[in-house]
Amino acid sequence: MIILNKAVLLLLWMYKNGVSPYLPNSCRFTPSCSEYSRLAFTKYPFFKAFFLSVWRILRCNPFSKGGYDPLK
Amino acid sequence: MVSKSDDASPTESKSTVETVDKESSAKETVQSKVKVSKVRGDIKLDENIVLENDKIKLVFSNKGGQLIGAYLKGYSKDLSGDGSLNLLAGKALSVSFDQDDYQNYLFDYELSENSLKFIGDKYEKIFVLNTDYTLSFELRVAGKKFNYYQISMGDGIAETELHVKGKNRDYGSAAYVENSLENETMSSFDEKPDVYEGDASFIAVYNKYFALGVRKLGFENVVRSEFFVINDNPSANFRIQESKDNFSHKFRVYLGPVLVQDLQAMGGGFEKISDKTWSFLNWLSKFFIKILRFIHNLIPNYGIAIIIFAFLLKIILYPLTHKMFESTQKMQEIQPMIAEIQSKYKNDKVKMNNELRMVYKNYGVNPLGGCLPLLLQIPIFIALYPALKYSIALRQQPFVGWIVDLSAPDPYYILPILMGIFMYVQQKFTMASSGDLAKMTDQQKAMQSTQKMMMYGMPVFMVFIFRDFPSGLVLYWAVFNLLSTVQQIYIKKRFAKK
Repeated sequence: MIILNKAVLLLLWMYKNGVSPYLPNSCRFTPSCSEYSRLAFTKYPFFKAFFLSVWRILRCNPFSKGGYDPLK
Repeated sequence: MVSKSDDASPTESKSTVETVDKESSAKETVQSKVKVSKVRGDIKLDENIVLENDKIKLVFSNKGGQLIGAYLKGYSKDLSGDGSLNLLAGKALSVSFDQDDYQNYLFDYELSENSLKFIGDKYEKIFVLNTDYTLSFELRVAGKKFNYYQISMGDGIAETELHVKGKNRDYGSAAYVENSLENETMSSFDEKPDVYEGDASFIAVYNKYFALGVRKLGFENVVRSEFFVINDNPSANFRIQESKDNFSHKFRVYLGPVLVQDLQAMGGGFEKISDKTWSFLNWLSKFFIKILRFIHNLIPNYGIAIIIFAFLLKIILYPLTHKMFESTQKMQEIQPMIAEIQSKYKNDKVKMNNELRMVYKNYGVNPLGGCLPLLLQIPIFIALYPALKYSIALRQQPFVGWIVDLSAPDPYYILPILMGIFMYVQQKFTMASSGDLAKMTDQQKAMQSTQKMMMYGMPVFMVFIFRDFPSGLVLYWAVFNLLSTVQQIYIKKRFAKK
């Protein structure tokens, strides 16, 4: 599990530094979805972190109010 | 006749020899340690038995009763357009019974206009050429004892391209076993053949643009499919269990381009071998190819068609990305405010949230945006990649000047380098304007230095990755990045005016 989390964290690092800079800043939340996922995968076991991240991304849509939404 | 091919395989030995006398026929058999019975010694080696239609010319040899050349008239290996592309690497469609492969057996044969019958040892192989890329094949056995017989793709499919890059990922074998497609590229082949047990309805070997396959028709014997590599080309065997000693089995053979409308002539879902991405994205990929073909019908240059396509996609995604770019701009403007609120209400999360909401609300950030809409664009690009990389439509299609083949890499790396430059410029505009270094936290400073490094690193990395990609794909990315950059400059200007 720890290895899986590390792998996801590496992917997130690659996204944040290599991909994200080419995309417009679109997240409705603070912290952003990728930062939120990073915190989740640092703090929680894989499945919980995965579920939290997916749920956050699903909420990050044009119908959501957005705003400050820290990891619990 | 056959000599146009530059394929160096030994079986293609200048086979214009229509008549070989008894002595040389005997010599041939001695050389290849075989079993042509003395009684049958009067059968002459003939390696120029031809079946031909508008689309293909098939050359058979009565030695082994097999195919030794399959020339596609509409395609050429180089840009000469001489229609001499041979999709076989050597021999194919031999039939072996148990361990006996009859590779050197000299068959008697009867040839008529579109059909060919090889008469062997208690069995016959009958080939009938249809009007498309398919060949009907019937195996008739009378009074022969064995456990199984095996149809082989022999030496497999040839390298039909002048530029072969990443062959292991583009060439492979496929079999439709027990209602699911087993598709393996050479990169996942092992030393030993990969074996699939179970009733298979067809097997095929393919390269980037062409395929060779056999589908069995109307019988359900237990079969076994094997994928293997021979002389660095993918090949496959189709083994069929049959205990009867009198039967007739029918097959359909495909020898042609990986093009859905042609593959469909095979029936039985044979066109699935053209699927290059995840099953839920293949329709999108094929839809993109249709659009490209449609544009090409109006303007007969695929390079221009790709540029128009990039414009179209940018326009379709415009409402989405435009709002996003706008909000990026706004976010940059209100960033100091947010930082201030965040530090002011460090210990009161509820209050901070409310304050932040107010700021977001007042500045109307993100009316259309969100991470979900952004992620939804990813499948579009995933589907586009195989469309531009594997579509035979782009094969040997010129664009302008130095780009003579959109399916081949840019020989001078001009397009990849242009793409890298556009990427760099784009990022320079997207990146938060360095603004007030003094006001930044240490973390923000660290982030910016990583970003700076990436700003130079990523384009260089991408040029490196894209240098061997088909120039059509690189052209698309270069144009798309250029359009994104223009969009950003436009938004920047508009905000500057306000």
